[in-house]
Amino acid sequence: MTSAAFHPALVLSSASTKPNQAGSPVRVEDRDAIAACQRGEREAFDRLVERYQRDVYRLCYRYVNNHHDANDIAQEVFLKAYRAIGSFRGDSAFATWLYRIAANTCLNFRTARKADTEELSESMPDSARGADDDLMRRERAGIVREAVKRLPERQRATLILKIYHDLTHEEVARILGSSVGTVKANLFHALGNLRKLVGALGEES
Amino acid sequence: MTMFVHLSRARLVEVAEGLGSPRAIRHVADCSACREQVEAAQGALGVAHQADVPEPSPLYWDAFRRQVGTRIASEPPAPRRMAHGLWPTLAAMAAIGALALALAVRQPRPLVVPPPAPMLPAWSALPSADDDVGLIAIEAMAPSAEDLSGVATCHGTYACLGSLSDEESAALAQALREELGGRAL
Repeated sequence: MTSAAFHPALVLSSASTKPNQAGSPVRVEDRDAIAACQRGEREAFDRLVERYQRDVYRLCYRYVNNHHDANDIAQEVFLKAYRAIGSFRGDSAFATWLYRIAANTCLNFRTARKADTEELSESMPDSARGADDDLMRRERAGIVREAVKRLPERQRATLILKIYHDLTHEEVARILGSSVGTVKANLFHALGNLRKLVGALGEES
Repeated sequence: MTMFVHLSRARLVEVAEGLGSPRAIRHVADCSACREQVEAAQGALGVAHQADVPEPSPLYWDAFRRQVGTRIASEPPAPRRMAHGLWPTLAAMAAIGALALALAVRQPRPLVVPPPAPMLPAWSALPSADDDVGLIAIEAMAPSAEDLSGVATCHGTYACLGSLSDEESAALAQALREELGGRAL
């Protein structure tokens, strides 16, 4: 697995991923839209939503493991980003900045909904549909998603950003406001706990 | 005698991700305990990748954008950011201001208070026409219609002088000599 293979900034637009002329980490097409937003052009923000909505939604989905909440949180993330875009200074990629907002929003959501943490997801696959192998795959995916959902906050955040969004350890550390060493240690613990949870949930099902 | 130290969790993760240093990789090859942890982490990485997110309907993304757009439309405009180029200017101005303030504090000068300007009345009433002695003086200085009868017919100094008779010219010259103390014109 290479860090460039699934990086959202690369996946979303492979045509123009090089840094801008000033060497800024902000992608060229993002920079234009961000500048327009900072000039007060609301319509320009739509371009950013279109570009990042899938990544933000998926990140949120992995936190909450259901579409309804993921949809609500993802909208909230973009709303927060719009309100704060005047403070975006281009010190990091827009995706990194947006993921930080998303991670914090998810963490706050999870804190508010702590009571639901131990509940099994309603979106567990329906075993009456699909071919057997597809069913098995979906069941397995559902179990893993549920296991991810049950990880401790920091471990879950680290695992989601590192594994599913394929960010570097440094990027994850920047987003979560921690050190690279802490990110690696959290990932190690997350992987260990994930195996245990998947095993336990597999036996339950 | 060298002490055998296992790899830290961070190093184990690096090896599990295929990013370990040659030294760490050699250690894992020789240490069964660390190797076991690396293999467990690699197994968990494989498990984690089985959790794909169900893809919503293609129509969902348009609806999502519309919903975000609607919510943003009800927001005040995004706060604008000051251009990068203005920061150095503002910083320089602030530095100059701070320097000026520091100098003013370090070198106190005696405070020179100018004498208060005479207070002018904000409003003064004119005396009534009967009590205004100024009007009487002005009336005394004003030429009569008889005095102005000759002047009114000529236009300009040269025209008036040209229109004088010989007697009037002689009288004017005499008056001017007396006015100038006997000096020749």
